[in-house]
Order: sequence, then C-alpha cells, then structure tokens
Amino acid sequence: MSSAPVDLPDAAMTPAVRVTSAVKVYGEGPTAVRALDGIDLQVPRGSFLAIMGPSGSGKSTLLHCAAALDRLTSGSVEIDGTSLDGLSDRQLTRMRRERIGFVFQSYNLVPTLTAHENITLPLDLAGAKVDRERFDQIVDTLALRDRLTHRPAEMSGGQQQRVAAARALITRPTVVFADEPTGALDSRSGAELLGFLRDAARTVGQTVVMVTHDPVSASYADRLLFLADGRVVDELDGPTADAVLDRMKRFEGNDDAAGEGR
Amino acid sequence: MLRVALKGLLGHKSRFLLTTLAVVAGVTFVAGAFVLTDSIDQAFDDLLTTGYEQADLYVTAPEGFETSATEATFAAREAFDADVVDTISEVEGVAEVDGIVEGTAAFVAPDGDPIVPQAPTLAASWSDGVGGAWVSVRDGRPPEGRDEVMMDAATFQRFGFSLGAQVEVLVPDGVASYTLVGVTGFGDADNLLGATLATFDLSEARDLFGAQEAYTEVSVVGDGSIDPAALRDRVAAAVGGDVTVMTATDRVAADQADISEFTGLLSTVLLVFAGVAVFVGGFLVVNTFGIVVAQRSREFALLRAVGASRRQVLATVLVEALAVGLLASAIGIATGVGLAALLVAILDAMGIDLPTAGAVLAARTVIASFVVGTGVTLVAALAPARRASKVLPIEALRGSETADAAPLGRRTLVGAALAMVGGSSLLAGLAGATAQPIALVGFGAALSFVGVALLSPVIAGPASRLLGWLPARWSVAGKLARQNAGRDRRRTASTASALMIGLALVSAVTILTASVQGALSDSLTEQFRADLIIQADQMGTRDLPRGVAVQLADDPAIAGLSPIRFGQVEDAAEGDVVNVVGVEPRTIDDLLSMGVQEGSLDAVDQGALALQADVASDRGVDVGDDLIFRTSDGRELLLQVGATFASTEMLGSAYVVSLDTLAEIDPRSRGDVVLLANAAEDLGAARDAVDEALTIAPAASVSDQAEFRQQNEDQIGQALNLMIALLALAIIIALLGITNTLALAVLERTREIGLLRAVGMNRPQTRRMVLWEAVFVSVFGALLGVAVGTLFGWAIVQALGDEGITRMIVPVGQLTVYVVVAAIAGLIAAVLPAWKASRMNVLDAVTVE
Repeated sequence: MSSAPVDLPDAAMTPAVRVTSAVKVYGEGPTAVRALDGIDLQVPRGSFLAIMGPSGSGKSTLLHCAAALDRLTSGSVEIDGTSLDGLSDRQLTRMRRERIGFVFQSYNLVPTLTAHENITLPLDLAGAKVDRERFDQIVDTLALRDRLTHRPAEMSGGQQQRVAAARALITRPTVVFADEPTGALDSRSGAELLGFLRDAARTVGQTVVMVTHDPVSASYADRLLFLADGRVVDELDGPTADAVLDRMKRFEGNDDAAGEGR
Repeated sequence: MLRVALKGLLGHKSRFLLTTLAVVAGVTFVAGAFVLTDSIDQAFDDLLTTGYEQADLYVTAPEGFETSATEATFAAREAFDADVVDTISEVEGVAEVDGIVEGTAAFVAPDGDPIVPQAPTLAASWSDGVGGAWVSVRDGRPPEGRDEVMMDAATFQRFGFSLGAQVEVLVPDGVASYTLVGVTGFGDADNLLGATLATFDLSEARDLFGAQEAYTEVSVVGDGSIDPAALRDRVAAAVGGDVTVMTATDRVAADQADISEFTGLLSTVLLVFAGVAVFVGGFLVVNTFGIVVAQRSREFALLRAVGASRRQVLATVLVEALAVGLLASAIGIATGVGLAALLVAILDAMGIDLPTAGAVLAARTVIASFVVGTGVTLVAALAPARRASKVLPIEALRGSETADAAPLGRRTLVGAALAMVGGSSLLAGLAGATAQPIALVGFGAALSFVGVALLSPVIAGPASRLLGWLPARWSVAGKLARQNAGRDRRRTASTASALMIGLALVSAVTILTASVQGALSDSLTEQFRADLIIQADQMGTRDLPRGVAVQLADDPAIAGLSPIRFGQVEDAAEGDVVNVVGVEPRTIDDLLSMGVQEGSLDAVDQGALALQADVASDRGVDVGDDLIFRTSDGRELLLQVGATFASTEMLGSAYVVSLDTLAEIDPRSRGDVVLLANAAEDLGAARDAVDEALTIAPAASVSDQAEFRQQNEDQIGQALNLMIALLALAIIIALLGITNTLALAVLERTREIGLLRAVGMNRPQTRRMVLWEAVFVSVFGALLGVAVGTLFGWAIVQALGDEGITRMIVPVGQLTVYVVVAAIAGLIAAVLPAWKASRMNVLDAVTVE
C-alpha cells in the first residue's frame, strides 16, 4: 500500500519525506509568531530521524505539518514524492491512512476497541484486508499476542503504546511519525518501544520521524536534528545520549546569551 | 461560590442551550394553556356581562336534567306561554318586559352546501326591546317580515354573502328561502364560539320552532325601586313554578360556569400534554446536568481540594439549574402567550371566532410557569448535583476517565420497585378503584416511566450490541458507533428513555384505537343489518325534518324503517339520569340485531321497556318486573320490562323503548337523529328514494354499510392523529435530547475523534459514526417505548372489557412504522453533532489536553 506500482521505479531515489523552505506563521500583524522559519529537510527511506529542541522551537509544529495534520504557511512537504500542497481533506485523510503512521503520547487508543481492533483500525477505516502475516509478525515482535482481546483500560501504559506502534506499522506506511512516544512511559517500557522502532527502521526499512526532548530517546535515532526558533540549528549523526547532552548544554548557553542579548 | 456557579454556566452556555429549550417547550404549553383559557373566560365574561346586564331578570322554562356544558349553553330552550309577559308586567317594580323565541337553523352557503360548523347553528327572534339586546345589528336592518333574516357577521364574511340577496335556511321542517337584510355581531365577536346565528322576526320564529303564543326567554327590567334579587322573588311568586326566574348576575354566573366547563376541559387537555412535555424535558435536564457534571468532575475536585465543602459544590450545580429554570420559565411565559395567540388563530381558521379581549396573563399563570419550569429543572438536577458533591478532592490529581464503572445494582432495584408501584397504580386507576382514577393513571404512568428509565441501563448494553450487530459488520463507523452507544449505559439509557415516553404514549393510544376500531367493526358485523343509515348531521346536534321519515315510510323502494331518537329519564331506584333510546320495535331487529334473550319486542311495541341483559341481571330484574322512572318535568311513571337484549354497542344505551313511549317519558326528547332503512329489492332504488327524501335536509347524509364502516374508522383515525400531533411535542423534546447528548459526547470525545481522523478516518466516516449512534439510541428508545406502550395498551384494553372492547389488537405494521420514523428522526437529530464532529480540526483534536 505504501507504494503503488506507478511509484515503484523511482521509489528508491525519492526520500520518504521532503520538507522544503517550510514556514509556519501563527497569527497576523505585530503579534505574529513564526513557528517554522524556513526549514529544509529530507528523510531518506529506512532512516530513523529524531528532532529535538526547546519548547517553542517549532519541533511539534514541524511534525504536525510533515504528518499532514497541519498546513504550512509557505513551503512544501512531500511524502513519498507526493506534495501535500493543495490536497483536499479527503486526499489528506487518504494520505494519513495509507502512507503515514502515528504514535502519539499516551492515551491514544480508542477506548472502546480491543487491542486487536485498535491495531487494524486504519485498515478497517480504509476498508482494506488485513495482511495476516504482517499482523502476526508485528504482534509477535511487540509481544502483544496475549493482549489482543484487551481494551486499553486493561493494559499498562507500555502495552498501550506498543499497540499504538503496531497500529502505526500495520499499513506499511512510508513514514511513522512519533510525537514524544515515551513521554508517559517508564524508562523500561520506553526503551522497549524505542528499540522496536529502531529495529523496524534497520530490519524492514521503516522510516521513522520522532520528536522528543529526552536525550536517551534521541540516542536511538540514526540522525538527530536540533531546532531553535523555527530553524535547524544543528544536526548529529549516530547520536549517543552523552553527545546529545553536550550539545544541549551548548544550546542552553546560547539561548541564555541570546535572551540577554535581546 | 455563586460566582463560580454563574461562571460555570456562562462558560458552558451552548451545553445548556438545548436543555433550556426543552424546559421552555414545556413551560410554553403550561403558560399557553392558562393564557388561552383565561383569555376566553375573560372575553366571555365581558360578553355575557354586556349581553345580560341590559336586563335585571331572565325568565326561562325550567332546566331539564343536567346536561353537558355545550348542550346546556346552546340547546334550544322549551317554550312557555306568552301570557307570562302580561303577568310579569303587572308586578310592582317592573319597568320593561320583553320576550324572544330561540331555536336552531342553519344557512346554506352560496355553493349549495349547508353551513354546519363544529358548533351549534342557533336561531332567535329579533326584538328591539331588551330581549334582543344580546345581539347588535352591525349592518343592514332587522327583519321586518316573515321572509327576512339576519346573519351573524362571521358567516356573512366567511361565505361572502351580500345584503339583499336570497338565502336558503335549513329550518326544522326543511329548507326555506329568505331575504338577507342584516348582519349581527356579539360585542366585538363575529360569532359565539363558532356557532352560527339566524335572526328571524318573532312570528316567523314562533312558526318555525313551534312556539305559538309563547316565548323561550323573557327579559325583565326593573324600575330601580328594589334590588334584582328582591324583584326576582316577587316575579317568581307572581308567575308560579312553571318557569325559572334568574337575576342577570346569576344568569351570567350560570352561563359562565358552562363556558368554564368547556375552557376547563380545554385547559386540562392542554395541561396534560404540557405535563408530558415537562416530564420529558426533565429527563433532558437530568441527562445534560449528568454529562456536564461528569465532564467537570475535575473542576469540582479542584474546588474541593482548595477548600469548598460538599454543600458548596452541590449548591454550585443547583444554582446553575436555578438559573436555567428561571430563564427557561421567563422565555416560556412569553412563548406561551404566543402559543395562545396561535391557538386562537387556528380556532379562527376552523371557523370558531373567539371574542377578542386580548391575552390575559394572570398572576397564577406566571407563578405556575415559574414553579413548573424552575421546579422541574431543580428536581431533575438534584441527582447530578449530588454526584458532583461526592467527587473526592483526590480526583483532581487523577483525572482518569471514569465512565461506567459504578454498578447498577441499587438503581436497578429502585427502578424495578418504581415500575411495579407505577404499574399497579396504573391498573388500579384504570379499574376505577379511587375517586380520582385519571390522576392515579397519570401518576402510575409517570412512575412506571421513571422505573423503566432506571431499569433501562441494564438492557442498554446488550440492546446496543444487538442493534449494532449488522452495522458493525458493515463498516468501522457502525462498529465504533455501536461501541459508543454501549459505552455509557446510563447516558444512552436516559437519552433513549426520554424518547420512550413519547413513543409509549403514542403506541398505547394506537393500540387502544385499533382495539376500539376492531370492537366497532365486530359489532357492526354482528349487529348492523340496515342497508342504509341516514344521519341528520355529523355532529349529531340536529334532527332530521319529520317529513323525511314520513316520506320514506310510504316509499315502496324501502322495506323496513326505524328512526332512532334519544331522551333522558331519571331511574328512580338508582337516582341516575339514563339515556333512553326510542326505536320502532316492529322493524328494529331487521335493521339492528338486538339479540333479544327473554320476552319479545312486541311487548316493547305495547309500551314496555327493553333492558340490556347485563344491566337487568346486575339489578336483579326479570321480564315482567316493573321499574320506576322520574321524568324531567317531575312525573313518576312505571315501566314494565318487556324484553332483555344482548347488545348495546350500536344503540348506545341499555334502555330501549318505542317511539311513543319515549315521547311520553321524555317530552323534551329529540326528533329523528338517525334513520335506519332496508331496501325492498334494489339498493340503488332505495338510495335514490332516500336522496329524494333528503332534499329537504341538505345537512343530512346517507351511507351504506361499507361507507358507514369507513366513516367510523375515519373518525377514530382522526382522533388518533390529533393525539399523535399533541404527543409530537414530547417526541421533539426527546429528539432535542438526542442532539444534546450527542453534541456533548462529541465534545467529550474530541481527542478520540482527532485520533481516529489522524489514523485515517475521513469526514463521511466520522459523520456516519455519530449518525449510527443516534440511530441506535433512538431505535432503542423507540423499541422500549413500543414495549411499554403495548403493556399500557393491554392494561387499558383490559379495563375497557366492560365497554365491549373484548380483544386487544396490536397493529404491528403501524408500530413498526413508528420505530422506523424514530430512527429517521434520530438521524435528523444527529445531523448537527455529526457535522460538528466531522469538521473538527484534526490537530486541535489531537493536541487538546
């Protein structure tokens, strides 16, 4: 589903996500806030990208715009080579359904549905058949087999988030967007989930974009972007938690200096 | 705390909008009922006072038996000797005496159809003395000869008559032609409660209504030397006991009492439906406050955490309810005045012109409206308010979604108990076990509704699973809707319960109607043998001209003929006034099977009484025994029981006598109201003969068996439609409840809907999800209502077993239609919430905290 036959030839060359000169302005006139101030970004297929930055840096806005939840003021977003510009709500919905997976912070399952139903929800909504093999594989990898008949209220936070991850992956999306996926989890559950996302990227080439504020979480990524004031201010390949912390300290210093400078 | 409450209310204005609307609807009917009837009463009081204050005393023939309000007001009075006028004028203290003659006569419209409104067709003699003071000449002049007539202004305008034209008038003996010379009014009103009035000159009126040298009413004006009461006593002493003398004040009071009986009935009917509406509105209040309290439990916990007491939290919610109630009552009073005006306009359109006195807004109306509006809102908000006060401070920190965890045990027990008490009160009321059976039935029904509403959450879960089974297989939207409907059983149940009430009442009435129709159809099949039935008019207020029966009796195309006449007599042993039917005993059994059990109709022809068998055995009377009766003019007479018979359904009375006997026992008995006829050979020829005989009675109608059956069914069907129209208000309020609950649910599930949208639910799917939920809730409520209504219908039909309704007929097709209509109405109710859900900004929904 992620790749219609027509897309196949150049699929390998097109990045999963391409963001060009992204600008997002909230409000108008003197009170206007530039949340994104000209961001360019490419996420190659099969890579795991983390985005960090202080609050207000625009990292959530970037994720929302890239994930077809919000629209840019100017610039463009392409998923799988398809521009989101000017797509109707129906087309955006289709995009989210077929090419994008989401993992939010906690409480992001439908409380009335079982784990099984939650996982297959995007396929059900699309009226598509469930690929039995893929379902089994994901469920087993995420160790959800004996939880399938449970409702969210009967599961731990970690289990709920694994169900959310399974739901994000079941459609073989071009890219999975994760917004602070470990925000509400204890460190062990968090580590399990991040490990799974990393493995998905490495073994089956699942592209993952994650926003986080936690250096340890960021260290699971292949590449890390730092955002500040709506701009990419730094990047780091193969980040380790220590390296991330170092950089962050530096930014905080800069931020303070910048703050005083103003 | 007050500020917190009012801020809370203002912060959730939209949530309370529909609740307010529901209470407004109920209060509107309460206020409307009072305003309408007060206005009518006031207007008539003015009208009667101006009409009667012209004279000090009124002299009439003595009243017969007490009859219904409309009959007493409009029935033609007996005539008495004109000599009374001379006697009275000699009484000391009398200044003026004037008499008139009243009767009934109907105009024929220019297109040839008789003008027969849903009200009497009155006639009176003109007098330029005090006797004619109740009528005023609006245009033209009074009649000056035997061939002239005046017409009431309403009829004149409505049918476009013109002065100087010839008009046809239906008089007791047929049709006569007159020159229209004047138009009459009654104070400001163009007619009297829809009645038409023909005003003739005195000698013509005396001829027409058989009152030679007589009057039906005499007005007396005193010379002012003594007060009217003393004058009344003098006049009464002078004229003796043959006539009744009343002061104008008493006369106004007596007529006003009759009018009040009519308006009281009207207001009772309106108030019953207002009660239903208010009751359903109460459910909506419970629901809205319940949901809002649940949604704000964190806020309450926070208030508790910072030091608010339980009482303060309770008070917060109740103050909100009070504000909603006060606002809704105030609006309801205003809309009630509007409703009254609307009803007056509707009555006007139906040809009932009410005197215009303006809307009367009595203090009682305002108080009652506020008591009902705020009372219902407060009582309904009590349970949610108590729940709010029980929120623990710690829950401010938890912020968990506690939807339906609490067990239903106690609630179910209470519900079962209420339903049982309600059900037995209902049955006891129907059995007539108390002095106030209607009140007991109403109380029992209301209690049963609350009971079933409390019980319904138990079945709401399984019901929504069952109802949603197919849609859930169909689509994800259906599946999610099914889960949502089963999610908060209490909410689903109480939303559905509001709808249940309206549908239960509609279903019960439908079953009752079907059963009555069935019983009627059965008795028609078993008893009705006449080929043709001739009815004087649909209202049954007019008699056939005597010539019709005379002509048909001699017609060779007619084989058997019996008039049906009605009279009244007091049963001396029991002290009751009973209806007596007069028939032609020699032919009646061929026209209407009476099922004679003992004795024979020959004896009845000889002057004996035929008594219905059950009545006979109840009273321990056999054929050959004598019964004592007292006539309306005070004579006692003895009637022997000559026969007992089985059926009364078609005759409408257990006492049947010959026409001659009827004339003897009730001198006031009516003429031919109905004629039954059999064809000699050819039905067509018989019908032609009847049509010819009826040329002197244009208001009369003739029907064959099939037509008569259809007529009866149509009449009952019309009554059913009227009831449904009035109950529609309760159903609309319940639908508002569905809209409200769903709108609140959509708001509450903002995040969840955002999530669904994020993982690929498109707008149509989102809409369908909400719409399906509405269908589940409304179908659940409708099914519950039909079930409860069927039980009610069964109870009513059981209670009516004595009235000849022997079997309950459940019109399954019609009830199914109700459920389908409820489902569609539920869909419509959900359109707005569904639209809102689908337009929700995905990002806002996902990021909402």
